[in-house]
Amino acid sequence: MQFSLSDDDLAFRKSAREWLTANVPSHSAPHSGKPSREYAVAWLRKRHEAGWSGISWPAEFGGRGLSFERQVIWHEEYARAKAPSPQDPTFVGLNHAGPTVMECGTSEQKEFHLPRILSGQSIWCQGFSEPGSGSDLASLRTVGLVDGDHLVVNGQKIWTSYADIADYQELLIRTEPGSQRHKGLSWVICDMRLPGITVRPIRNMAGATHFAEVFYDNVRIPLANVVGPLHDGWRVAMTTLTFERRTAAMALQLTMAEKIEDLARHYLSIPAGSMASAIGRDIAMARAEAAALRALTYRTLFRDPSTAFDGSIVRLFFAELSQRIYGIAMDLLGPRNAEAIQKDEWVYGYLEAFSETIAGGTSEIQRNIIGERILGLPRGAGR
Amino acid sequence: MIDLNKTVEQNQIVDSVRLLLAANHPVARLRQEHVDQEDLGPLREFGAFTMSLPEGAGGAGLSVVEDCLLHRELGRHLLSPSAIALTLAIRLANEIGDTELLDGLVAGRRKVCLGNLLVARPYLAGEDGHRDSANVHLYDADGKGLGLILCIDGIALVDLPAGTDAEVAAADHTIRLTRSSIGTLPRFRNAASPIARLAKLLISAQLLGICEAARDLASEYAKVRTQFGQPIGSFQAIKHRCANMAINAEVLSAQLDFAAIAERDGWEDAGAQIDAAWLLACRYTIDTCRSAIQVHGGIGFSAECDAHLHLLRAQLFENLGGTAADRLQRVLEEKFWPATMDA
Repeated sequence: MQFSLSDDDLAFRKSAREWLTANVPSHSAPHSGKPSREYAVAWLRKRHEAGWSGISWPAEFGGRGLSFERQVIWHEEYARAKAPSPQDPTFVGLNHAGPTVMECGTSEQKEFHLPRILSGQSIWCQGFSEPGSGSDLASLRTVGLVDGDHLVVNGQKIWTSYADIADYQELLIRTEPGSQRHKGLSWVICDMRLPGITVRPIRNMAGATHFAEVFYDNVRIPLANVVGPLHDGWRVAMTTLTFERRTAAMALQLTMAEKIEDLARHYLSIPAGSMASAIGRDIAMARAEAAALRALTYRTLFRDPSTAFDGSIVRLFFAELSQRIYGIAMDLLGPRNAEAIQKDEWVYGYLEAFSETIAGGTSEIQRNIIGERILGLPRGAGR
Repeated sequence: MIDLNKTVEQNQIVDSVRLLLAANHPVARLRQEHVDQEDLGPLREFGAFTMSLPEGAGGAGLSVVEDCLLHRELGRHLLSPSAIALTLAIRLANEIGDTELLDGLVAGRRKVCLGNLLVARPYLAGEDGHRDSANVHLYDADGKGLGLILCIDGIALVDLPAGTDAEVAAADHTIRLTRSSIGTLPRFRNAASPIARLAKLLISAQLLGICEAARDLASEYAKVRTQFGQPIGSFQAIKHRCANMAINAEVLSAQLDFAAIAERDGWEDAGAQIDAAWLLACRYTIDTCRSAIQVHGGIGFSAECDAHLHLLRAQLFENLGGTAADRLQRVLEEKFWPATMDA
C-alpha cells in the first residue's frame, strides 16, 4: 500500500490549480434549456483549447491520456476551485457515448464523433430508460426494424437528460424481432434532428427542465450508425456503465468533501455552533463520511479491479451521503430554506440530489447487486 | 505512485495469522460459560506484537499499516483486549528506553492488560487525586502486572497494585472485568502522540474485523435459512440489510487503510484521518452487529448464536479511550483537512 506522488505529479497539480484559478467561470451554470448548453459548451471549449478536455481519454483519440493519479489530481483541483458541476450537457458525450464509441465503434464513427465531443461541438444524450423499463432496463420495447440499409425506429424513451438540446443520442433499442431481455438489442447513434423525433421536456421537482420524453415515429437511422455488432447492444451498453463507474463520478465524489467543509465552516462560525445541537453531530458524522468517500474513491481506482465489485458500493454511498449533506444544509438554513434559490444553490442542490439514488440504477437495485454479487446471496423470485 | 493493493508481504502476514487464529482462537472458544484467560503465546511467537518495532529493538521494522491488517484479523476472532495492550506497551517500553520492561513484555514474563479510565478528568499525567475511588476498568487482568490505560487525554502504562482490583459482572461474559483504583498516570503519552494514535487505529482495526465477521455471519445465515420456501437472503428486506453491512465494512476499511497510510507516512492530516476512522469504526460496527442479530431472528437473540458476542465486544470497544460524544466533538472541531492527497 503506497500513496505518494512524484515531483512531476506535484508540478502537474500546480499547473492545474493555476489554470483553474484563472479560468473557472465566475457565474454559476443555468439549469435548463439553451442557456445550459451555451454555458457548458463555452466551459468545455475553454478547457479544450487549453488541453484540459478529455483528461481520461487516450491520446490517440485526442485526450490527455492521464494516469489515474493525475486524473485524481485534476478532479481534486476541480473540486477545490469550485468549478461547474461535471453533470452538465457535456457529461454523456465525454463519459458515456465517447468512451463507448472508442471501445466499440468503427473508425468512421470514431473519426467523426470523438473530436466533436471533446471540443463541445456536439452534445449527446442517453436513450436507455422507457416508461415501462426503468430499473428493469432489459425489458425495453422501443423497436428498430431493419429496412434496407436503415433501421426504422418506433417507440418512446423517457428521463433523457438534455434531449431538448442534444445533437446525438446513444439509443438502446430492440432490433431483433421477438427477442427477449438482454438479447437482440442494439446500441445506435441517433441524430436528434431526424424527422419523426419529438422531444417533450419534463419539469423536475427542482423546477428545472433538463430531462425529457422522446418519441420515435418511423425514424430512419442508417445501419452504419450501429455501434458494435447488430443485436449485441447490451454488451456495448455495459462497456459504458463500467467506464462510468471507474472515473466519471470521481469529480462529483471529491466535491462532497468540499461541500461538507463549507457547511462545517459556516456552522462553527455561528456562536451557538457546538456539539450541543443535533446539527453539530450530523456535521461531524458527514465530515467523517466525506473523508471515507474520498478514501473509497481512491481505493476504487487504485486497487486491482479484479479484487472486488466495489463500484456499486462507492456509487450508493456517494448518492446517500450527498443527500445527507444537502439535508444538513436545509437544517442550517432553517426557515430560509423556503426560498427557492439561495445564492449558493443549496436548496436547488437538495432537491436535485433526490435523483442521485434513482438515476443510473436505484439504491434498491444497487443493494440487490451488492447482496448478490459481493455477498453471494440468492436472487429473488422473478429476477 | 499510488497502489492500494496489499503487498505480497502484507498478504503473507494476513494469511499466516489467519491460519494461526483458526487453530488457536476459534470463536467457538467463547461459547462456554467460563472462558479461560487468553493465551497470547502463539501470537507472541509469531511476532504479532513486535511487527512495528524497529529491527534494532528486536522487531520486524514494519509499520502501523501492517499492525492494522493484523489487528483486523484479531478482531474477527474476538481476541482478548490484552492483544491491543501488549502491542502498545511494547511500543511504549521501547520509546522510553526501558529495555528490561521491553524484554519482559516481548518474552511474555511481564503481563499487561487493557484498561479504561471511567472519569475523564482530573486524571491528567502526574496528577494525583481520588485515589480511593475505583476509577478504571481492567479487562482480563490477572491480578498482577501492568495496565495499559486509555483515556480521552492519552494513554499511560501503569504498574497495577496487587490485590486492589475487584471483579464485577461483565455484560460481555467472555471478558474478565475488574474495577481498580489508580491515582496517577505514569508513562503518560498525550492524545496527539504516535502511541495514542496507534491505540485508536488498533481499536478501529479490531472493530473493522468484528464488523466483517458480523457481516459474514449474517449473510451466510441468510443463504441457508429458509422460510416461505426460499432462503431468507432472497428477500430484499434481508438482502438490503446485508448489503448495508457490506457497505459499512467496505467504507470503514477504505478509511482505515487511508488513515494508517497517512500515519505511517507522516501526513499533516493523519490525526484527522484517524479520528474519522475511529468514529466510523464505532458507529458502523455497532450498527452492523445489531443488524446481524436481527437477520438471525430468534436464534440471534439466544446466547447460542455468536452474533451477540460481536455486539458485546463492539459495545465494549466503543467506549475505549473516549465516548461517541468525544469522537463527534473531535471530528467536528478538527482542523479542516485539505481534500487533496498530497497536502
